[in-house]
Amino acid sequence: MALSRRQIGFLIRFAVLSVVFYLPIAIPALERVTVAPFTRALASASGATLRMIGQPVTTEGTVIRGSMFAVDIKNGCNAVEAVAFLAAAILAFEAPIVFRIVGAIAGSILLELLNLIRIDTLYLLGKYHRDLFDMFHLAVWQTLMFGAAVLIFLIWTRNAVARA
Amino acid sequence: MLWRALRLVAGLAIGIALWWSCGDAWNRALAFLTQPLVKLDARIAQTDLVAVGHTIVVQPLVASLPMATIPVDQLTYNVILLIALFASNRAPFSDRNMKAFAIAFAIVLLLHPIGLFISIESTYAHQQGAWSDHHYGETAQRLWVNGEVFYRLIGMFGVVFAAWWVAGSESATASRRRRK
Repeated sequence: MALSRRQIGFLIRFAVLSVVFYLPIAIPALERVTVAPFTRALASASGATLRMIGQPVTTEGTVIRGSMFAVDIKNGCNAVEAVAFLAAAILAFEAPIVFRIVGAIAGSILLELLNLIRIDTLYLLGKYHRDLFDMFHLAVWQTLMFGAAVLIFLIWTRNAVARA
Repeated sequence: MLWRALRLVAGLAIGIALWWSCGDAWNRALAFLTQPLVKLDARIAQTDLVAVGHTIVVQPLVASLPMATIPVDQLTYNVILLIALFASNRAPFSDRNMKAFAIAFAIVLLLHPIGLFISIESTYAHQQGAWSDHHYGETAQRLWVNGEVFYRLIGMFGVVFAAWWVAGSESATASRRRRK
Protein backbone atom coordinates (compact mmCIF):
# COMPACT_ATOMS: atom_id res chain seq x y z
CA MET A 1 0.00 0.00 0.00
CA ALA A 2 2.08 2.93 -1.29
CA LEU A 3 1.08 6.32 0.04
CA SER A 4 1.14 9.39 -2.17
CA ARG A 5 3.03 12.49 -1.05
CA ARG A 6 -0.34 14.21 -0.58
CA GLN A 7 -1.60 11.46 1.73
CA ILE A 8 1.60 11.48 3.76
CA GLY A 9 1.41 15.28 4.05
CA PHE A 10 -2.19 15.07 5.25
CA LEU A 11 -1.37 12.40 7.83
CA ILE A 12 1.61 14.32 9.20
CA ARG A 13 -0.39 17.56 9.47
CA PHE A 14 -3.30 15.66 11.04
CA ALA A 15 -0.99 14.06 13.65
CA VAL A 16 0.74 17.36 14.49
CA LEU A 17 -2.54 19.27 14.76
CA SER A 18 -4.05 16.49 16.93
CA VAL A 19 -1.20 16.97 19.39
CA VAL A 20 -1.53 20.78 19.24
CA PHE A 21 -5.28 20.63 19.92
CA TYR A 22 -4.65 18.18 22.74
CA LEU A 23 -2.55 20.78 24.62
CA PRO A 24 -5.54 22.63 26.18
CA ILE A 25 -6.52 19.31 27.78
CA ALA A 26 -2.98 18.34 28.78
CA ILE A 27 -1.66 21.55 30.31
CA PRO A 28 -3.54 22.17 33.59
CA ALA A 29 -3.09 25.97 33.53
CA LEU A 30 -4.51 26.09 30.01
CA GLU A 31 -7.23 23.57 30.82
CA ARG A 32 -8.46 25.68 33.74
CA VAL A 33 -9.12 28.72 31.54
CA THR A 34 -10.35 26.99 28.36
CA VAL A 35 -11.77 23.48 28.69
CA ALA A 36 -13.02 23.70 32.31
CA PRO A 37 -15.29 26.78 31.82
CA PHE A 38 -16.54 25.30 28.58
CA THR A 39 -17.43 22.03 30.35
CA ARG A 40 -19.30 23.93 33.08
CA ALA A 41 -21.24 25.84 30.40
CA LEU A 42 -22.01 22.54 28.68
CA ALA A 43 -23.33 21.13 31.96
CA SER A 44 -25.57 24.19 32.40
CA ALA A 45 -26.90 23.87 28.83
CA SER A 46 -27.50 20.13 29.26
CA GLY A 47 -29.28 20.78 32.57
CA ALA A 48 -31.44 23.43 30.91
CA THR A 49 -32.46 21.09 28.07
CA LEU A 50 -33.24 18.34 30.58
CA ARG A 51 -35.46 20.74 32.53
CA MET A 52 -37.17 21.69 29.26
CA ILE A 53 -38.29 18.07 28.86
CA GLY A 54 -39.55 17.91 32.43
CA GLN A 55 -36.59 16.51 34.32
CA PRO A 56 -36.13 18.17 37.71
CA VAL A 57 -32.34 18.53 37.69
CA THR A 58 -29.90 21.01 39.13
CA THR A 59 -26.41 21.76 37.89
CA GLU A 60 -23.41 22.49 40.02
CA GLY A 61 -20.12 22.99 38.20
CA THR A 62 -19.83 20.01 35.86
CA VAL A 63 -22.38 17.89 37.74
CA ILE A 64 -26.00 17.43 36.66
CA ARG A 65 -27.97 16.09 39.57
CA GLY A 66 -31.47 14.65 39.82
CA SER A 67 -33.17 12.89 42.70
CA MET A 68 -32.16 9.41 41.51
CA PHE A 69 -29.08 9.89 39.37
CA ALA A 70 -26.26 12.33 38.67
CA VAL A 71 -23.68 12.69 35.91
CA ASP A 72 -20.33 14.44 36.16
CA ILE A 73 -19.07 15.71 32.80
CA LYS A 74 -15.34 15.14 32.49
CA ASN A 75 -12.84 15.33 29.68
CA GLY A 76 -13.89 12.66 27.22
CA CYS A 77 -17.58 13.52 27.74
CA ASN A 78 -17.39 17.18 26.71
CA ALA A 79 -16.66 16.27 23.06
CA VAL A 80 -13.55 18.43 23.12
CA GLU A 81 -11.60 15.41 21.87
CA ALA A 82 -14.01 14.90 18.94
CA VAL A 83 -13.82 18.62 18.15
CA ALA A 84 -10.00 18.48 18.28
CA PHE A 85 -10.06 15.44 16.00
CA LEU A 86 -12.42 17.07 13.48
CA ALA A 87 -10.60 20.41 13.53
CA ALA A 88 -7.24 18.64 13.03
CA ALA A 89 -8.62 16.66 10.07
CA ILE A 90 -10.26 19.68 8.40
CA LEU A 91 -7.33 22.03 8.94
CA ALA A 92 -4.89 19.37 7.68
CA PHE A 93 -6.80 18.99 4.41
CA GLU A 94 -5.61 20.93 1.38
CA ALA A 95 -8.25 23.63 0.81
CA PRO A 96 -8.47 27.45 1.03
CA ILE A 97 -7.72 28.51 4.60
CA VAL A 98 -10.99 30.43 5.10
CA PHE A 99 -12.96 27.38 3.92
CA ARG A 100 -11.02 25.26 6.40
CA ILE A 101 -11.64 27.62 9.33
CA VAL A 102 -15.36 27.94 8.55
CA GLY A 103 -15.61 24.14 8.21
CA ALA A 104 -13.82 23.55 11.50
CA ILE A 105 -16.02 26.03 13.40
CA ALA A 106 -19.31 24.86 11.87
CA GLY A 107 -18.38 21.20 12.36
CA SER A 108 -17.42 21.83 15.98
CA ILE A 109 -20.77 23.49 16.69
CA LEU A 110 -22.61 20.54 15.16
CA LEU A 111 -20.59 18.10 17.26
CA GLU A 112 -21.30 20.01 20.46
CA LEU A 113 -25.03 20.08 19.65
CA LEU A 114 -24.86 16.31 19.20
CA ASN A 115 -22.99 16.13 22.49
CA LEU A 116 -25.87 17.88 24.26
CA ILE A 117 -28.10 15.05 23.06
CA ARG A 118 -25.48 12.55 24.26
CA ILE A 119 -25.35 13.99 27.78
CA ASP A 120 -29.13 14.22 28.07
CA THR A 121 -29.70 10.67 26.82
CA LEU A 122 -26.97 9.36 29.13
CA TYR A 123 -28.63 11.06 32.07
CA LEU A 124 -31.99 9.56 31.10
CA LEU A 125 -30.43 6.12 30.57
CA GLY A 126 -28.71 6.34 33.93
CA LYS A 127 -31.99 7.24 35.58
CA TYR A 128 -34.32 4.79 33.83
CA HIS A 129 -32.08 2.03 32.37
CA ARG A 130 -28.97 1.87 34.52
CA ASP A 131 -28.05 -1.53 32.97
CA LEU A 132 -27.54 0.12 29.56
CA PHE A 133 -25.68 3.17 30.82
CA ASP A 134 -22.13 1.78 30.74
CA MET A 135 -22.39 0.40 27.21
CA PHE A 136 -23.88 3.61 25.85
CA HIS A 137 -21.50 5.80 27.80
CA LEU A 138 -18.40 3.98 26.65
CA ALA A 139 -19.04 2.31 23.34
CA VAL A 140 -22.14 3.64 21.61
CA TRP A 141 -21.97 7.38 22.13
CA GLN A 142 -18.20 7.76 22.00
CA THR A 143 -18.13 5.86 18.69
CA LEU A 144 -21.12 7.83 17.40
CA MET A 145 -19.36 11.11 18.21
CA PHE A 146 -16.27 10.13 16.25
CA GLY A 147 -18.42 8.59 13.50
CA ALA A 148 -20.29 11.90 13.26
CA ALA A 149 -16.96 13.75 13.16
CA VAL A 150 -15.84 11.59 10.24
CA LEU A 151 -19.17 12.09 8.43
CA ILE A 152 -18.89 15.86 8.86
CA PHE A 153 -15.33 15.67 7.57
CA LEU A 154 -16.48 13.67 4.52
CA ILE A 155 -19.31 16.11 3.74
CA TRP A 156 -16.92 19.01 4.13
CA THR A 157 -14.21 17.42 1.93
CA ARG A 158 -16.78 16.68 -0.78
CA ASN A 159 -17.65 20.39 -0.84
CA ALA A 160 -13.98 21.37 -0.63
CA VAL A 161 -13.09 19.17 -3.60
CA ALA A 162 -16.10 20.40 -5.62
CA ARG A 163 -15.11 24.01 -4.87
CA ALA A 164 -11.52 23.36 -5.90
CA MET B 1 -24.51 10.65 2.05
CA LEU B 2 -27.69 9.41 3.76
CA TRP B 3 -26.97 5.84 2.65
CA ARG B 4 -23.43 6.23 3.88
CA ALA B 5 -24.72 7.37 7.28
CA LEU B 6 -27.09 4.40 7.40
CA ARG B 7 -24.27 1.99 6.53
CA LEU B 8 -22.20 3.65 9.27
CA VAL B 9 -24.94 3.07 11.84
CA ALA B 10 -25.34 -0.57 10.69
CA GLY B 11 -21.56 -1.02 10.99
CA LEU B 12 -21.72 0.53 14.43
CA ALA B 13 -24.29 -2.07 15.54
CA ILE B 14 -22.19 -4.92 14.10
CA GLY B 15 -19.06 -3.47 15.68
CA ILE B 16 -20.67 -3.24 19.12
CA ALA B 17 -21.95 -6.83 18.84
CA LEU B 18 -18.49 -8.10 17.86
CA TRP B 19 -16.66 -6.05 20.48
CA TRP B 20 -19.08 -7.17 23.16
CA SER B 21 -19.06 -10.87 22.23
CA CYS B 22 -15.33 -11.23 21.47
CA GLY B 23 -14.10 -8.81 24.13
CA ASP B 24 -13.18 -11.35 26.80
CA ALA B 25 -11.29 -13.59 24.34
CA TRP B 26 -9.43 -10.57 22.93
CA ASN B 27 -8.61 -9.38 26.46
CA ARG B 28 -6.92 -12.73 27.18
CA ALA B 29 -4.91 -12.43 23.96
CA LEU B 30 -4.11 -8.84 24.82
CA ALA B 31 -2.76 -9.82 28.24
CA PHE B 32 -0.52 -12.39 26.54
CA LEU B 33 0.69 -9.92 23.87
CA THR B 34 1.37 -7.10 26.34
CA GLN B 35 3.31 -9.25 28.80
CA PRO B 36 6.63 -8.93 26.87
CA LEU B 37 6.25 -5.12 26.81
CA VAL B 38 5.78 -5.02 30.59
CA LYS B 39 8.98 -7.07 31.00
CA LEU B 40 10.89 -4.23 29.31
CA ASP B 41 10.45 -1.94 32.34
CA ALA B 42 12.38 -3.25 35.36
CA ARG B 43 10.06 -1.37 37.77
CA ILE B 44 7.04 -3.45 36.79
CA ALA B 45 8.68 -6.44 35.12
CA GLN B 46 7.87 -8.82 37.95
CA THR B 47 4.18 -8.94 37.26
CA ASP B 48 1.73 -11.19 35.45
CA LEU B 49 -1.11 -9.83 33.36
CA VAL B 50 -4.36 -11.72 33.87
CA ALA B 51 -7.57 -10.97 31.97
CA VAL B 52 -10.61 -10.92 34.25
CA GLY B 53 -13.78 -10.05 32.37
CA HIS B 54 -13.55 -6.49 31.07
CA THR B 55 -10.39 -5.78 33.03
CA ILE B 56 -6.77 -6.82 33.06
CA VAL B 57 -5.31 -7.36 36.50
CA VAL B 58 -1.60 -6.67 36.92
CA GLN B 59 -0.64 -9.29 39.50
CA PRO B 60 2.67 -8.68 41.29
CA LEU B 61 5.06 -11.61 41.70
CA VAL B 62 6.88 -9.88 44.57
CA ALA B 63 5.40 -8.40 47.72
CA SER B 64 6.92 -4.93 47.22
CA LEU B 65 4.89 -4.27 44.04
CA PRO B 66 1.29 -3.08 44.28
CA MET B 67 -1.50 -4.67 42.25
CA ALA B 68 -3.38 -2.74 39.56
CA THR B 69 -6.60 -3.24 37.63
CA ILE B 70 -6.92 -1.79 34.14
CA PRO B 71 -10.40 -1.41 32.58
CA VAL B 72 -9.18 -2.73 29.26
CA ASP B 73 -12.49 -2.44 27.42
CA GLN B 74 -11.92 1.34 27.50
CA LEU B 75 -8.79 0.83 25.39
CA THR B 76 -10.16 -1.47 22.72
CA TYR B 77 -13.53 -0.10 21.64
CA ASN B 78 -11.97 1.83 18.78
CA VAL B 79 -12.53 -1.33 16.69
CA ILE B 80 -16.23 -0.40 16.69
CA LEU B 81 -15.45 2.85 14.87
CA LEU B 82 -13.16 1.01 12.46
CA ILE B 83 -15.89 -1.50 11.54
CA ALA B 84 -18.44 1.32 11.23
CA LEU B 85 -16.17 3.37 8.93
CA PHE B 86 -15.40 0.45 6.61
CA ALA B 87 -19.08 -0.50 6.60
CA SER B 88 -19.85 3.07 5.48
CA ASN B 89 -17.69 2.66 2.36
CA ARG B 90 -19.34 2.09 -0.98
CA ALA B 91 -19.53 -1.68 -1.70
CA PRO B 92 -18.47 -2.65 1.83
CA PHE B 93 -18.24 -6.36 0.99
CA SER B 94 -16.07 -5.92 -2.10
CA ASP B 95 -12.71 -7.71 -2.10
CA ARG B 96 -10.81 -4.44 -2.06
CA ASN B 97 -12.73 -3.02 0.88
CA MET B 98 -12.39 -6.27 2.82
CA LYS B 99 -8.66 -6.41 2.10
CA ALA B 100 -8.21 -2.78 3.16
CA PHE B 101 -10.29 -3.49 6.27
CA ALA B 102 -8.12 -6.51 7.15
CA ILE B 103 -4.95 -4.39 6.93
CA ALA B 104 -6.44 -1.52 8.98
CA PHE B 105 -7.90 -4.01 11.50
CA ALA B 106 -4.47 -5.63 11.95
CA ILE B 107 -2.86 -2.19 12.51
CA VAL B 108 -5.45 -1.25 15.12
CA LEU B 109 -5.22 -4.62 16.91
CA LEU B 110 -1.42 -4.39 16.98
CA LEU B 111 -1.70 -0.98 18.65
CA HIS B 112 -3.87 -2.33 21.48
CA PRO B 113 -0.92 -3.90 23.40
CA ILE B 114 0.89 -0.56 23.16
CA GLY B 115 -2.20 1.26 24.45
CA LEU B 116 -2.52 -1.22 27.34
CA PHE B 117 1.19 -0.91 28.14
CA ILE B 118 0.90 2.90 28.27
CA SER B 119 -2.14 2.56 30.53
CA ILE B 120 -0.30 0.18 32.90
CA GLU B 121 2.70 2.52 33.05
CA SER B 122 0.40 5.49 33.68
CA THR B 123 -1.36 3.61 36.50
CA TYR B 124 1.92 2.67 38.19
CA ALA B 125 3.42 6.12 37.59
CA HIS B 126 0.54 8.09 39.01
CA GLN B 127 -2.01 6.07 40.96
CA GLN B 128 0.02 3.97 43.37
CA GLY B 129 0.67 6.66 45.96
CA ALA B 130 4.09 6.55 47.61
CA TRP B 131 5.20 3.66 45.41
CA SER B 132 4.65 5.84 42.30
CA ASP B 133 6.55 8.80 43.77
CA HIS B 134 9.41 6.54 44.78
CA HIS B 135 9.82 4.82 41.40
CA TYR B 136 8.85 7.51 38.89
CA GLY B 137 10.20 11.04 38.59
CA GLU B 138 7.87 13.98 38.05
CA THR B 139 8.63 14.16 34.33
CA ALA B 140 8.11 10.43 33.87
CA GLN B 141 4.79 10.63 35.70
CA ARG B 142 3.59 13.48 33.50
CA LEU B 143 4.79 11.71 30.37
CA TRP B 144 2.96 8.46 31.08
CA VAL B 145 -0.24 10.14 32.27
CA ASN B 146 -0.37 12.41 29.24
CA GLY B 147 0.48 9.48 26.98
CA GLU B 148 -2.48 7.57 28.35
CA VAL B 149 -4.91 10.50 28.18
CA PHE B 150 -3.81 11.33 24.64
CA TYR B 151 -4.23 7.71 23.55
CA ARG B 152 -7.67 7.44 25.15
CA LEU B 153 -9.07 10.76 23.99
CA ILE B 154 -7.59 11.25 20.53
CA GLY B 155 -4.93 8.68 19.62
CA MET B 156 -7.05 5.53 19.55
CA PHE B 157 -9.56 7.19 17.23
CA GLY B 158 -6.94 9.10 15.26
CA VAL B 159 -5.26 5.82 14.38
CA VAL B 160 -8.57 4.31 13.28
CA PHE B 161 -9.36 7.34 11.15
CA ALA B 162 -5.87 7.42 9.59
CA ALA B 163 -5.92 3.67 8.86
CA TRP B 164 -9.40 3.91 7.31
CA TRP B 165 -8.61 7.06 5.36
CA VAL B 166 -5.39 5.68 3.88
CA ALA B 167 -6.74 2.17 3.20
CA GLY B 168 -10.12 3.53 2.08
CA SER B 169 -8.74 6.10 -0.31
CA GLU B 170 -6.28 3.53 -1.67
CA SER B 171 -9.11 1.11 -2.35
CA ALA B 172 -11.27 3.87 -3.88
CA THR B 173 -8.43 4.92 -6.18
CA ALA B 174 -7.84 1.33 -7.24
CA SER B 175 -11.51 0.79 -7.97
CA ARG B 176 -11.67 4.00 -10.03
CA ARG B 177 -8.64 2.81 -12.02
CA ARG B 178 -10.34 -0.55 -12.62
CA ARG B 179 -13.51 1.14 -13.92
CA LYS B 180 -11.45 3.12 -16.44
